[in-house]
Amino acid sequence: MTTLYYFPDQNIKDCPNKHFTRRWTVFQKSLASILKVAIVWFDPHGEVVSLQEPPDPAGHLRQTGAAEAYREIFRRISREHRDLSGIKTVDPLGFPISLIRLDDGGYLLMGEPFRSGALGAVPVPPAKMRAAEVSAPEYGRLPQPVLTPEVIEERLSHTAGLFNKLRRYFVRPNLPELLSAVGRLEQLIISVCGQGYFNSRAVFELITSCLMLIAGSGCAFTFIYEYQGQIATLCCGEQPELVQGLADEWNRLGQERDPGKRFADLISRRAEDKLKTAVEGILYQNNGASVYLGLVGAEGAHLREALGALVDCAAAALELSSFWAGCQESWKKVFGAIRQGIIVVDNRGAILIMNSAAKKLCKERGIAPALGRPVKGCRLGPQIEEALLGAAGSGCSFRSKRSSFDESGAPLCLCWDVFPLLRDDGQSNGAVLVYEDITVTVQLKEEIRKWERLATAGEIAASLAHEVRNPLATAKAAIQLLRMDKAPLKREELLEKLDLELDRTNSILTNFLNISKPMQDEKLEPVLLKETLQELLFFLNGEAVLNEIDLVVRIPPEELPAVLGSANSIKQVCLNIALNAIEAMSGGGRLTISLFQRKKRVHIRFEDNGPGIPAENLEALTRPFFTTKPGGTGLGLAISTAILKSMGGNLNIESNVGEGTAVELSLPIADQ
Amino acid sequence: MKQIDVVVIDDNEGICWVFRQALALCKLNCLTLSDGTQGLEQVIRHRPGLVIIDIKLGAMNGFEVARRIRQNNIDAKILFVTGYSEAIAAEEWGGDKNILGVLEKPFNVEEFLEMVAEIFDRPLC
Repeated sequence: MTTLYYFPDQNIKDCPNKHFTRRWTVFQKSLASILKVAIVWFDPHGEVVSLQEPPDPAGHLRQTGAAEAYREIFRRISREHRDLSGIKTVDPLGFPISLIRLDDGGYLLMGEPFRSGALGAVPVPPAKMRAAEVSAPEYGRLPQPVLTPEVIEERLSHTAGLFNKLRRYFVRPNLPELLSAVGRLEQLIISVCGQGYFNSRAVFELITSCLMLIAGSGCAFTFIYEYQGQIATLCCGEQPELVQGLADEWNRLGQERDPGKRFADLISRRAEDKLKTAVEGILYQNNGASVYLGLVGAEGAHLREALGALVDCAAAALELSSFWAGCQESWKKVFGAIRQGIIVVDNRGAILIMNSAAKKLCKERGIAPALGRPVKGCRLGPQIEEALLGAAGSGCSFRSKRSSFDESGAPLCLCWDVFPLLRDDGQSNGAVLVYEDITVTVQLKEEIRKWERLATAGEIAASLAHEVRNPLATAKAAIQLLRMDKAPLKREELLEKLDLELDRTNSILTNFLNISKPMQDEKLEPVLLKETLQELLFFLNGEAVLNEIDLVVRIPPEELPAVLGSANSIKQVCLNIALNAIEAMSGGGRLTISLFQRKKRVHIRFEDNGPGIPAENLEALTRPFFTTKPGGTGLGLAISTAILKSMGGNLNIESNVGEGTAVELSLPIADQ
Repeated sequence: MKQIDVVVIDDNEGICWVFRQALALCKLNCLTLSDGTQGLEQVIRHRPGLVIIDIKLGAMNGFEVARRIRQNNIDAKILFVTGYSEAIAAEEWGGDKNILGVLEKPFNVEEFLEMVAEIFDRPLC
């Protein structure tokens, strides 16, 4: 498990909006779960702020996050002191609801289909999604780093539309309509902190600073956007000069850290000078976010109360907009700190986000895929592309996969996981790819394997040299002795020895060649192993008696299917195995030979109760020239294995020292 | 009991035959064995002047046999035989004057006989 230690610029504890804190925690937990990492947050003083650990306690998250959010909405309702029946708003998860008042003064929250309102930015989710799926934020709606003048203009006009509507309510005071407008603003905010959505666009549709002055007969307002050094202002209403002047003051004082009450007084005074009437205003300022609502000629307590709610909402929205920007930076840093490449795609396979590791790999391969482009552009190979589309489309997961991909001589080996971003209705929102580049590791392993093969080849060559040198030495000595021509050696005996040793040399080389290409000339044909074994037993019975071996044979009465092979070669293999067993039990013992069928193969098993083979020798048993027997060639099992392999067969050896050895061969049944 | 001059431990019958024939030319009594354990028993029993040991034996290798011979305080001269081009570790055997070295197969019978004649101080017949 990886542990990330992270020092956020913004302390999550300081966020006044508990919905948001909760949502952020949920996001961290899901991140921790998806990536199987622990995320530990420290504040600048080194205190642990939060610790998120896998395995994902999904059930726990759902309960705590949703419960807290619902408690908050009930708190809001209880503050209203009025009958809110019929009010339409959204619940903590961002879904539309209406309120029904109950006899005891409480309310019932009823879900209802969403109707597109002035803000229309929240998509319609199915009702059952309320169970709150823990999913990553909607990466696709991340704001671009710099707002263009066009975007700012669009947002200004959008906000102007909303406040023009608000103005109507003030001109013809109508409390339910006003509350409904407040509700929409609330919806905007809740959609940001609701469980299902991180709707960043909604936040940025809000003003970054707002000054609003509402007069009895009319309305004037100014919105000020400020984002990464760019400022745009929009003024409208009946008192353009007054509002423009106030906006300038607002801007100027806004540069100061804490204009406080001085600012509120200034605005009141100016408005009173121009409008010749008292101005009652509500100022909200926190951490650079400011909202001022001035009410000229207050027309009743309910209007002031409504304005109070409105200012609350606007203030929360402003806070969120700056806090959200901070959080985005934070989780980008978390992603950036992760060594594995992470790519998030939407349900059409378009890249929504790539962390630094993913970008680095692409850059190394000379690719620069852009956000919003198909993931195919990353050239991670067809397997990963298919998996991402599969996960995003049908919600399937792929875990601990490996794929190799070679494009124009640049091999790429990746170890990867693909997870769908699932919602509660089972629909996939997109997919997350987490991968690691293991190209170098794989290449190193291949290199090591090559060296191992060479080492084995070297050992075999050395063994072969040794085997050949024995008869060679004898033959050479025989010739030298012949030259010496001394009694008591007989010329005939020497020549015979010479002939014998040369034959032996030839036989060693022939056997050695047989290992690489056994049964060159033999044709495979259906063989009944029962018959082969019975023929073999005639010979083995004699050997068993001579060596005081108790020979037990288990052949089933029914006919077993024929295998494909060569009867003579199989006999040779069986004889080799059986004689090895008999030889191993020099003081007598028991050899059990069983014939049986398992699935599509017929097996012959030879079990002895001899001394057994030490574990360190087991692996080397089938290697050419490996022997522990005096005078053994070390070729018997090597040839047997090669013969069986050429027929599609297998040889399996199990042994325990002091208990005995079991050698089992199996051959595939011949196709009918 | 007949005096045994040389014990040969080699698992190859052909090589044993060569040593038997060659040593017979020097009128040396020789015993050939194919297994390290049996070979060691015979060396302890007969205390020969020379032991010829194949390095690559079955269960007990040639070096191990030589080590056991020394452990049994038998100061016979030892000659290793090998089919590989093996060297003997100087740190273990370098100080032992009775280790004659390694005879590589195939070897020259006459040279071998000259060495044997020197060891036993008897002329070739």
